[in-house]
Amino acid sequence: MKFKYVAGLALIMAGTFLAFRGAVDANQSLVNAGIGGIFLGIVVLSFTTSDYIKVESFKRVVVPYSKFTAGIVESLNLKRKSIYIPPYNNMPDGGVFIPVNNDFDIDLGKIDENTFFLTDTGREREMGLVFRPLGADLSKEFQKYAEIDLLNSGLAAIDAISSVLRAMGLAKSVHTDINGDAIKIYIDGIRFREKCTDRCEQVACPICSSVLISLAKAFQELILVEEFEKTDRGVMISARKIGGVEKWM
Amino acid sequence: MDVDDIIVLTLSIWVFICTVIITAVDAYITLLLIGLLVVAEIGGYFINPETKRALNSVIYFMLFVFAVIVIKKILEVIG
Repeated sequence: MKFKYVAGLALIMAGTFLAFRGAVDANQSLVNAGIGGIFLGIVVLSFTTSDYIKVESFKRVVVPYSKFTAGIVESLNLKRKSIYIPPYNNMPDGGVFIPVNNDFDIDLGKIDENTFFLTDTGREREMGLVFRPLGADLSKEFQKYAEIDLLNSGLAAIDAISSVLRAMGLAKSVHTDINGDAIKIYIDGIRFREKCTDRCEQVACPICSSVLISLAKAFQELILVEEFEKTDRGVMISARKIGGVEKWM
Repeated sequence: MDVDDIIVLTLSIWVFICTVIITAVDAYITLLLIGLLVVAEIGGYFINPETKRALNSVIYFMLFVFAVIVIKKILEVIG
């Protein structure tokens, strides 16, 4: 961080000196070199706004939260895989629903931000656990970085997700194979790959979660996670689009 | 290598090439502006919003300088 400030200021000072010297000696090339130095110095200083923490520290802070959420799912003995709900009136940041039964039904009208364990339903197949996606904030960052609204953006969202995750150093690339309603998401070079487990199918890490909730938002459909698989290059997520918010209201 | 580093490195190479090849200061500043615009457009997705705002300020300043250069050239032609 400090090195960038020093480098930027040094370039500006050297540039100013060269430009001044060039002007005194009537040497146009030296003036240009000076302007170039000042220009580069300002550009370098522009890139000093990010704060970094060590990866190990980050892991120690974030992993316990993921484990805590996974522990709740484990203790409730929920067997079904998760469903990512795109943002709608009741849940502006979207949500994750883990149904109690394999033969599930969701009534999105009964779910809101304050719902945690949905039991107040007439039918058992509507019961389940609801929580805000762990990657919801990361998903918002995708929109800020790419300056696009992911809502209904379709496949254009993949480029934004891939680029921003790469810029943040969280994954090298993200690409998808879409065949009808079936989606295969490949997250290559994902950080903390060693932490990926079978539990990710229910409670994904913030990185995978951000990709899934962003895609739910981009397609405006609920996404059912079917399988998480570690590959040589990263993680492959098999998922399925199961209809829009209106269908499940 | 970090994406930010790649962007700065690309601009540095561009500045070096321009410094070696160009002598006229107006053409030099115009080429610096073009380089910055291209990098900001291509790397837009990779640059965080705060940095993007700072870079935009540099772009606006250089566009102002470019406008001054254009007006000066027009006055030369008219004169």
